[in-house]
Parts: sequence; C-alpha cells; structure tokens
Amino acid sequence: MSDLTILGLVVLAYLLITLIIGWLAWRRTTATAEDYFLGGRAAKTFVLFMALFGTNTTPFVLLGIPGLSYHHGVGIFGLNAAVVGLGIPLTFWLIGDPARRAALRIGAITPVELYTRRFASPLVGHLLFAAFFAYTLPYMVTGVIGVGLTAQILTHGALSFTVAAVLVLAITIAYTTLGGMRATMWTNVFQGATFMVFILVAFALIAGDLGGLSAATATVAAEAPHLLVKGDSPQFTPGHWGSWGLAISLTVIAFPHMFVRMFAARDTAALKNVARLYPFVLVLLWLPAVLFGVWGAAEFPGLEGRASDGIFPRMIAAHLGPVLQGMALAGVLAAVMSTLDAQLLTLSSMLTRDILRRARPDMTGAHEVAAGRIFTLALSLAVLAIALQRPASIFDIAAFAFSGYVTLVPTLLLGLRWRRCTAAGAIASILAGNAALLLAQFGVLPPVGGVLPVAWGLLAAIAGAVLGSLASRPTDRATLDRVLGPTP
Amino acid sequence: MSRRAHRLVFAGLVGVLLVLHLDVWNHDVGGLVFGWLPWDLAYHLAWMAAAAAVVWYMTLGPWTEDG
Repeated sequence: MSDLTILGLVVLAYLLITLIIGWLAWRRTTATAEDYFLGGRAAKTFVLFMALFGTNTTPFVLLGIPGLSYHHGVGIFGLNAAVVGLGIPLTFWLIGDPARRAALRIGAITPVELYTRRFASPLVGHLLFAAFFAYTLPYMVTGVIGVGLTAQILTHGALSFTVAAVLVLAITIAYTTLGGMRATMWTNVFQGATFMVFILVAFALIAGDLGGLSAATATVAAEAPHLLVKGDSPQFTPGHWGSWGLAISLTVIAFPHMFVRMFAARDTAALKNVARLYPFVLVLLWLPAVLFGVWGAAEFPGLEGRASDGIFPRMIAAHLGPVLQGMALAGVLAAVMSTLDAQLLTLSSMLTRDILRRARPDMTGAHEVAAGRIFTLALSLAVLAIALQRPASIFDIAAFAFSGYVTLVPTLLLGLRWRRCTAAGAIASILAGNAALLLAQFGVLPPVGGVLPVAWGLLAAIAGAVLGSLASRPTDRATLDRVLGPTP
Repeated sequence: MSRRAHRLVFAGLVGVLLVLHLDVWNHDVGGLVFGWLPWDLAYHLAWMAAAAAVVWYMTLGPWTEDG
C-alpha cells in the first residue's frame, strides 16, 4: 500500500467518525431553535471545555504561530500564549458569565439578540451583526487556507489546495446543517482530542528524530541563534508587545462563535472549571507550535513571508511516517472544522433570528432553521472564493480580524456590567472604534510608541461608549431589570 | 474576606502579572534551562504557572455565582 493511500485512509477514518457523531447528534436534536442553536443550554464542564477550546484552536495556532516563530523565534510564545492564559479566563468571568445569565433570563439565543434587547435598540443589533460578519469572514478564510496548504504539502500535490478547501467546507456544512449546536459540540470533543493528541505525539517524535530536545536546540543555536532570544525584533518592542497582548487577550470573547458557546453552558460552575483548565491546556498546544517553527527555521532555512505558514506540515513530512502524516492532516482538519462549524452556525443563527425574523415576524422555528442552512451554504461559497486568492499570510489575516473584534469588547463588557451604558454609547463605541482602527491601519493615526492600530481602535471604542452613554438618556429601568436582573 | 476585598487582591495580582509580562529586561538574555529550554521560554512558562494560580484564585474568591 502506498504512503499516499495510507494517509488517505487515516483521513477518511477521521472524517467518517466526525460524520457519524454529527448524525448521532442530529437524531437527538429537536426542531426547536434553542435546541438547534444552543444544544438545549446544557453543556457541562468537559463538553463545554472541548467545545470552547476546539473552537478557539485554529490554523492560526497550528500553522500561523509556527510560521511566525520561524521568523521571530521563541519570543512568540510570550507574545501570544502567556498573556492569553490570563486574558481568556478573565473575559469568561467579566463578560461570558453575565452574558450567559442574561441570555437565559430573556431566552436569547444569539449575541445580537441579547444586546438588541439589552439596549432596546435594533440598530445596536444590526451594527453588531455587521461587525461580527465582517471580521468572522476573513477568520474563516484562514481555516480553509490552513487545510489547503497542509493537504497540498503532505500529499505532495496529489490533493490540491482547491480540492482540499472544497472538501473541508462540504463536510462541515453537512454535519452542521443537520445537527446544529449539539453536533458541533459533540464533534468538537472528538476533534479537540484529535489535534491535542496529535500535537503531543508529533512533538515527542519530531524531537526524538532531531536527536532529542537538547540536540534540537543546539542545532538552532548553531544555525539561527537569534531565534533563541527576543533581541531587537520590532515584534517585541514595548508598544507592539503591549498592544498585541491586549488584542489577543480580549479578542477571543468577542468571536461570536465563542460568545454563543457561553450561552450553551449549563451553569457558572461549568464556566469556572473551563477557566481553570484553559492556561494548562494552552501550554500543551502553544509550546510545541512555537518550537516547531524554531526547529524548522534551522532545518528549512530561507522561507520568505507567508511561505513559512507551511513549516509545520514540512516538519511532519520530513520526520513522520504516512500514518502520522494522515493524523497530522486529520488534526489540522479537526482544528479547522471545529471552528468553521461554530462560525457557520453562529452567523447563520444571527442572520435568521436577528435580521430575517425582524423582517418577517411570522416566521416559524422550522423556517428559521431552513433559512440558516441556506445562509450557511452561501457563506461557505464566499469563504471559498476568498481563500482561493490567498490574500496574505494566515497570521496577518487573523491579526486583521482579531483587531476588529477587539473594538466590540467595550460594548460587550459595559452592556452587561454598567447599567448607565446606553444604546447611543454602544453605537458610538462600535462606530468610533472601527473608524479609529481603519484610520490607524491606513497610517492616519500614528503608531505612538510603536502601538498597533488595535490600540487606537480600543481607545476610541471605550471613549465612544462612555461619552455616548453619559450624553444620552439612561435606558429605562424595566428593560435593564428584565435583561440584567433586578437593580442591586 | 468580602467579595470586594477579594476583587482588590485579584486586581493587584493581575497588575503584578502584567508588569512581569512586559519583560524588557529579558530581551538579550541567552542561556538554556535544563539544557534545552531557552531562557525566554522558561520565563514565560513560569509566568503562565503564576497566571494559572491567579486564575484559580479568581474562580474561588472574586467570581461569585451572581457575578
């Protein structure tokens, strides 16, 4: 049996298991929107953790971070992973848990629905939807690029970038449109386990093949010693370091596909357990990702720009046999599908419930689900069209999306934690934050102290929320009590 | 300890962690820990261990069932 056949069989087995899990979930899903979109709000610690972590882990980590470490070295770990270990759990507490309680109180199914009712303003909901859509689309593109690239390298071109991209989208659509949130959470458990186990096994085997951890590091010290210290790389100047830390810590809760999973949590205890686990599992995933990139720089020097996105599959192809290469492709597929499914489901639920239902209030639950499925298909085609263009490196596309999501954080946070925050404040925050981000991206706002555009976006969003709220009439007390609970 | 006191302690701990995260003093420090782990990675792994402890505390003290 050829290496390619073995690799294909391993991937096929993975895909088959995923579809079977999706089918089992479909059999248990009822036609109600709450069950389809939130899995009945019953996720306990283990499923919730795997669903959140699976959704949170994308080719940004598996391919983008090795690609970035290839150029900038071990400092990439501190720049990204460390601060996220604190930032993500903190946002689960400050935003995720009150959002879950408010959504349960009013029966909200999507973030847009929650904030529309919190601010008693459809315009806030429409702006949030537009922003979620604008930033999730490029983030989905990074996933599809990741699969295409990995498949192309590991199959030596037998499976082209385009075919791999079409396949991953088709299969994700199949189980997501059938089984809804329950399917995505159940498959996320399997998918999360697949890529976690693979990363750890690959780390041990590749280190062994390089002669052990000490020998691998010694090779880097001889070939590319600058990668073992931060040095004077612009990535690590205080302004860049601080503003990127802010961005990557705050962005995750503002992913609509992560935010909605907060609603699916059974209770606060489940969310607390997830917060406790997060930092530990991040280390297990990010440490190998950074070291793959650094080791790869010594072994495959000379990759320029976005070409370094392929360093992880190159290392796999060079050091592991066909079975593990198949597992690598399955692992990347798992990471991509576990995020893509959540993104598709969340965006489609917001479109059907928050946009279409507003236009047609007589729409039935079954029609809502059907409309969600059609939208999922259209969205997938748009993602595919952009991914085939490969507009930039995975890290750069993700960085653009992350910066945009951060401009929404003041609205998401203050809407739940500050009763004086008003619709005018939320609207001012979203508009000012995104305008400032764009101006900074185009160099109109200067990078004072080396800060990234996201710092300007966040600052403007905070100012917009505070000033806009104080300058407008408070939201009526009955609305606040209904959504946020009785006034303390 | 009251919820407010827990939150003040937690805010202080987060402040310390953020200062330690901006490790400008580490930029050119070389050397290996355990013979293979670059110093910068070892430093940030230790930082994450401290952050994990602070997160654990967050779930026990400041983060109550009602907010």
